[in-house]
Amino acid sequence: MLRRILGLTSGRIAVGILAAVALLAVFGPLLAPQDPLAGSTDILASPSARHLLGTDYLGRDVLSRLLAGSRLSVLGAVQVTLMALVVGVVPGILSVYLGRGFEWVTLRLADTLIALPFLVFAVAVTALLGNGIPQAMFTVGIMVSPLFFRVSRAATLSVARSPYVEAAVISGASIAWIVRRHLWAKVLPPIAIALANTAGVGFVVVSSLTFLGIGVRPPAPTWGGVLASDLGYLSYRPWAPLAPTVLIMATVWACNLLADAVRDVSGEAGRALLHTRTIRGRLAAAGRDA
Amino acid sequence: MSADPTRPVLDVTGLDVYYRRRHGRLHALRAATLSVAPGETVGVIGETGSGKSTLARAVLGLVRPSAGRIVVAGEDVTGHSARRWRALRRRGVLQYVFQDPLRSLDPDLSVAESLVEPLLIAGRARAEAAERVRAQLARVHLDAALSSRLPGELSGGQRQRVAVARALVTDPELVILDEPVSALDSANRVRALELLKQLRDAGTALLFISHDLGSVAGVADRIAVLYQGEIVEVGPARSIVNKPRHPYTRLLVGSAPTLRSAAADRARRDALRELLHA
Repeated sequence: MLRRILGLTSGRIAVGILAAVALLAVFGPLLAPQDPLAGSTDILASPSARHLLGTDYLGRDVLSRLLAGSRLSVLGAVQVTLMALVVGVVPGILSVYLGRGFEWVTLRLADTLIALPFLVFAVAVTALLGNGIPQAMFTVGIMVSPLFFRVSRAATLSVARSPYVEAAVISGASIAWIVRRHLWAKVLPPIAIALANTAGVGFVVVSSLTFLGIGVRPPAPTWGGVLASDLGYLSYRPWAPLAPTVLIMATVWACNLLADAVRDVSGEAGRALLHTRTIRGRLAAAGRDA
Repeated sequence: MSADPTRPVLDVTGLDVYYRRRHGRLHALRAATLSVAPGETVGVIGETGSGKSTLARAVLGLVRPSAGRIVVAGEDVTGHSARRWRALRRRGVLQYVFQDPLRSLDPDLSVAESLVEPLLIAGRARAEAAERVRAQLARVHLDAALSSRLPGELSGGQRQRVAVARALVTDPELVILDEPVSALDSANRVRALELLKQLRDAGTALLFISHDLGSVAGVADRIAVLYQGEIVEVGPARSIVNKPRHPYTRLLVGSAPTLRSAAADRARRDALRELLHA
C-alpha cells in the first residue's frame, strides 16, 4: 500500500510533509533556540536575528514556542484521531455484523453523542476524570467518533450484503476474513478522508480547549495556542499568525493529500489509475526509443 | 467422489420457510421434499417468486427454515449453529454459483485471488492452492493469462466461467447453480450448458435452478417443478417434458415456442391457466 502511495506525486508530497512534521514532533523541543516559557521586556517584537519570528505579548520567542509546542500539538491531533478511529470505526463495522441488539445500541449511542453539547461534555469529563491532555483528547475523540461510526457503517453496509461477500460466507469465511479480504479496501478510502479532516480539527481543538482550562495548561506552548495569542495582537503584528497557520495548514493539507492518495491507490479506481499510468509510462518509453 | 455412493448428497424433507413481512408473513416454501443422489443433476424450475432461490438459500444455511429437515452430505444441518455451518462450509462439500457473475466476484480481486479464496479459507497451503486454481482454469477453458485480470476486465461468459471455477476448486460433492445461464447471451449460454454437462459427467452432483425449462431439460437427469412455494411435480427430465402431469408443468412446457401456429398455442395456454387458477 505504502509503495503504491509513494508511486503518486501527491502521495510523495504528503508523506514527505508528514515525515517532516513527525521529526518536528520528536526533535522540535530540543531544537528550540531559547526557553519557550521565558518572558522578556522585549514584547511584540518584529523578527530580528535574536528572535527569528519575533516575540509574543509576554516577550517570549515565537520560534521557540512553535518548535517546543509541536510535540504536544501533533500528539494531540494523533490522539484525537486514534480515539475516534477506535471508538468510531470498529463499532461502525461491527454494528453490521454483531446482530440487531448491538446495532441498535451503537446507533442510539451515536445519536446521543451527536446531540450532546460539546462544552458541557468536556467539562463533565474533566470533572469526572480530572484535568489533563489525555482526558481532553479522549473527550474530543469521543465527540468526533459518530462521524467515523457513520462513515464506516455506511461503507460496510454497502459491501456486506453484496453477493461476493455472501460467496465468501458460503465458503466458510469468518467475519475477520471478510473484513480483511473484502471490506477493508472499500471502507478505507472514506475513512481516510474523514481521518484527514479530523486530524485538522484536532490541531485547532487542542488549543481551543485551553481557554476552558481543560487540556493544555496556559504557559505550555502549542501551535494552536500561539495562533490564538497572535490573533489578539493583530493591530501590532498583523503578519504574526502566518507562522503557526502555515504549520497547521501544511499538516492538514498533507493529511488531506494522503487521504486522496489512499483513495486513488485502493480499490478498483486506484488500480485503473495505476494501470493507465503504467501504460502511459510504457508508451512514453517506447516513444523515446523510437 | 463421495464416500458412500448410495448416500444422497442432499436430502430435503418437508421444508417450510417463512419470510417476515411488514404485514404478516410470506410462506416462501411449503413442505418441499427433494433429494439429490451423488453425481446426479436435478433441475428446479419455477417462475419468479416460486421459491427457487429460497430453496437454495435454505440448503446453504443462509435462510433458517421453520420446519423440515436438511441433510447435506450425510450431515443433518437443520439446527446447525453459525459455528457448525462454518465448519461444514470449510470442508467445501457444498458450493454455489450466483446468478450474476459480475456482482458475485469482488471487483478489487483478480481472477486468481478470487479463485484461491475458498481454498485459503479451508486452510490449504498457498502453493497447493495456486496449483489447483491453475487446474480449474483449464477445466473451465479459461486462459491462464486471464488470472491476473479483474472481473471488470472480463467478458460476461468468462466471468461466469470464473464463478463456476470458484465453485469447483474445493472439489464439492454438490454445486447449486442459481440461474447460471440467464445472464448470458445465447452463444455463451450454449457453452455454459456444455460446461455443466462436463461437470455432470465428471461426477459432481448439480442442483440447477432456472425459470427456463429449455436450458434445464438438456442437462438435468430429474426435474422438480416449483409452483407458489410447493414442489408440484418431480420426475425424470424426459417424462416432465414429454408427459407433464401438473397443469403448471403443462403450462411451462406449453410456453416453450413451437413451430405450430401461435394462435393454437395461446388458446392451449389460456385453457391451462384457467385450470391452474380454478
